[in-house]
Amino acid sequence: MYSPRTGCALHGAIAALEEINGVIPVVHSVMGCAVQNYLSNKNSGLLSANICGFELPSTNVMEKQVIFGGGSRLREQLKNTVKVLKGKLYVTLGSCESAMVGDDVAGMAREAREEGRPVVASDIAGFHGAVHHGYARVFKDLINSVGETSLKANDTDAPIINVFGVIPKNDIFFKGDIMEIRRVLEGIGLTVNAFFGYADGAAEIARIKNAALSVSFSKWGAYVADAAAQAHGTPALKLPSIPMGYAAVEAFLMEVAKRTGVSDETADRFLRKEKEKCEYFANCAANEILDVAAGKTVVIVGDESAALRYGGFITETFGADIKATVITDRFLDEGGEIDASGLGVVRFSSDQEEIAEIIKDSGADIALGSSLEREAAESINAAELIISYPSDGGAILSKTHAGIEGAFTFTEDFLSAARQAERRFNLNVREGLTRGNVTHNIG
Amino acid sequence: MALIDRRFALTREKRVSALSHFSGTIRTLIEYADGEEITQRVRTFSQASYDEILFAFGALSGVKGLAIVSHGAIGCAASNLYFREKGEAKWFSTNLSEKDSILGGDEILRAVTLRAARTPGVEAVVIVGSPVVEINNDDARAVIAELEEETDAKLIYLNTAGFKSKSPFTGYDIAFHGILKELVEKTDEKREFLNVLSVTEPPRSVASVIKALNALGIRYNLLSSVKAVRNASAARVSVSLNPNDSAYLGKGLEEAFGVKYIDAAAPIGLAATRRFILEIASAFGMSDDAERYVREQEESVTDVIEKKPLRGKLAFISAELSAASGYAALVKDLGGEAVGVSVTEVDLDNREIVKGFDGETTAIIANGQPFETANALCKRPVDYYIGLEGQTAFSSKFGATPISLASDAFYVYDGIRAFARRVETAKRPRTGENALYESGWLKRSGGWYVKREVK
Repeated sequence: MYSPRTGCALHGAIAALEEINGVIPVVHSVMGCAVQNYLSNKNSGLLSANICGFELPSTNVMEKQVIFGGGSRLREQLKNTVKVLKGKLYVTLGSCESAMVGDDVAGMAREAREEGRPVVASDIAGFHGAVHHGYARVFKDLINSVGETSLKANDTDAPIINVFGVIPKNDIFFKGDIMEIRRVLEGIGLTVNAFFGYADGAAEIARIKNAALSVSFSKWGAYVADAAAQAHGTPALKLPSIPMGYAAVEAFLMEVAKRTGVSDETADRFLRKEKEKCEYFANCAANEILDVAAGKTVVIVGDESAALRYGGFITETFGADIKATVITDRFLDEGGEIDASGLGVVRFSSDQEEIAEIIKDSGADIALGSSLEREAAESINAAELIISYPSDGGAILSKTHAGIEGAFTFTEDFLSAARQAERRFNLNVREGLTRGNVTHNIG
Repeated sequence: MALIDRRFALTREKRVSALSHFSGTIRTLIEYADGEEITQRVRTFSQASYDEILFAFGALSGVKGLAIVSHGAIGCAASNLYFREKGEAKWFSTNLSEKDSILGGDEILRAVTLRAARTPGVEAVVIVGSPVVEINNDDARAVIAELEEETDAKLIYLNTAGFKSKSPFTGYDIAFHGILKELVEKTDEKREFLNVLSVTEPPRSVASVIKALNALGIRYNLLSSVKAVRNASAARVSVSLNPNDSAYLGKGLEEAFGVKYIDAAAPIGLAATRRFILEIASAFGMSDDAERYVREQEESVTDVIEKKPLRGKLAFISAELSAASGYAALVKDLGGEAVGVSVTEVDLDNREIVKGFDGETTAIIANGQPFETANALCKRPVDYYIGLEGQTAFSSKFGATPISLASDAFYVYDGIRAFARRVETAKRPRTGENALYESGWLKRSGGWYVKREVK
């Protein structure tokens, strides 16, 4: 009962599939479901290069199918989709309507496979939850069903690693984040199944089963890693968030190397170069960090994995003081326990009004959150830095806040926000001095 | 029966026999759409499309003082993140879960509606239905009846199901039906101002029209707040900037409140702009001033027209019918030729407009469905593709230079100048070759998947 800040489970599934090169999502729903997803992402400039928006195949069911069932409409749509749209794998997605009516979405996909078409299904419904749920559910279904199709994996000699838990569009920098995660893992000699972007994502889906290890960066990713473990016996390394900064990346890569049989020497060779780069930029930024960022107070609004990623980096790198953190997602409605040390007062909420009150109470210098937090941040004269969904802060292509490169970019962003906060504060003080009432004006 | 005497707005199919699925030529379309009613068609392959819920959101999101409550699953209101930038309405959702879809969402609706009604600045709450509540048969009206004593805000329910009409424009009609019945206030007084009915036009285009009205000294009401909607009944005249969107509102104001409705085409291109301005001015007894103004403005664009920046160029236009007709004329004004159109709907009220196009023009009736447009562009390549927001880039893969109507609908004389300039500066994005559509499909007949509906 609040202003919605995200889409539904169906939207999470669409958002994930449309980012996988070679995969075509086939939506079995009323006309507007897929366009709702498109419009909600559009203002952030977060569009897919593969297939998106009005291009998505959708059964667009009408009253007749709601009353008498939409199975035959879906059968017809699947038969024709493979003739119109190029794809290596077609994934049928259910919806609230198909779930309520009882359409056999999985049965229609099975029927298509029997006729030689590479079709699988995820019997999802919008009311199952928010986008995170959709991402996790559709990947679990892909893991369990893709072996039933003729989809081929590419051969590779290097150990393969699955990357789970980066949720397209919900992680507003997901394109760049995926590229950076891929870069550092390839840097130590691994073949990476990261699925999203311009790589052959469909082939990566097909070789999930061949992986030596799955890594996950959120509870949602861990859920998918568990599915891979159950289906294929793939061991999992479960992290609470994407590593950002040299220390986190080093710990991550060394653990991955150990578990995948990559030699220490290979990992060290890559990390040594990364460390040189990090120290170079740390020297460039050190005085600015000490002059401007140290001691700044911060409030963070985002899903759990984002809060942990940014919270950890901010306290370790800038010596800033996190006053409060608002977690906007709840893993399978379980809520509750997270390792929240250093995150200030931690609250769970996705209610814009409630979050605005928390931001105002924090009195922070810098607010990290979505564009929905802008008004609240402005009301306390805080600098706003958009790190979570939704974002209307401008188009995002390859920008990242992950790994090593992402740490540089985030440092730029945070220091810019800190300087902006400093200017605002000083302006306030100067105005107060002019009026001879400093304490009143700076609150 | 007058529009608002009905309990609910009829779907466009039932009211005006709206056809939203067709693929052929203008000549075959004219033949098909002849007669007392237009036989419905369906697509056996379809792509994502707007629905009546999204169009209802579009009609309401620009009204300050409204709270919009999406009564459905969390995703039914996901587009609020887009519509928030279009206006100042406040957004709420009941976020129905699977359990609510079984047990009903009345309690949640009660709580969310009260919260919306008690939000500062909210004068009316519009509850927008969804597939979940429609299939579940939730009685939102009973909840509203209970709550009416607990709040001063007006409560309005829209029975948007998302699956009852193939035409998303039904969503506009449902929203305007609710507004006409519940918000517009009865008055006997008529004042000298014009209701400007705008739904989808970018602010830049509305501003161009307002500039023309200001030049003539005609006062206007944009219906952009609850107060302005209430006062719409006091206007002398209403005009739609695009009749496909808002004719229902204009006709409703005329039938129920005696506000004369000018059924003019969208003011795009020289001829439509001239008619638009002269008809409005005539209703206010200002024909002489308007003639003079039109003459001056036409002279001011003479250099643009004479330059003929589209000389020898072919264009494909995708827009609502009234606007598409205007763009086709504008392309012709500038020396080019529209050889294909994709329009969102043709119905009994607007089918005469179709006769204004050349008979051999490719004609698609679709909401979205770029696969059919891709087919048409493959068979008959064009220089320019003029299309709706978010639906133009694909045309570059088929050789066209896209022109998006998202930030400027190119209305009145400002629009003529801006369009000519846009054509001159337009660039084709380097997005590579078509990787989405099968070559087998691109060779087939464009109407392959459009079939006569079997009842």
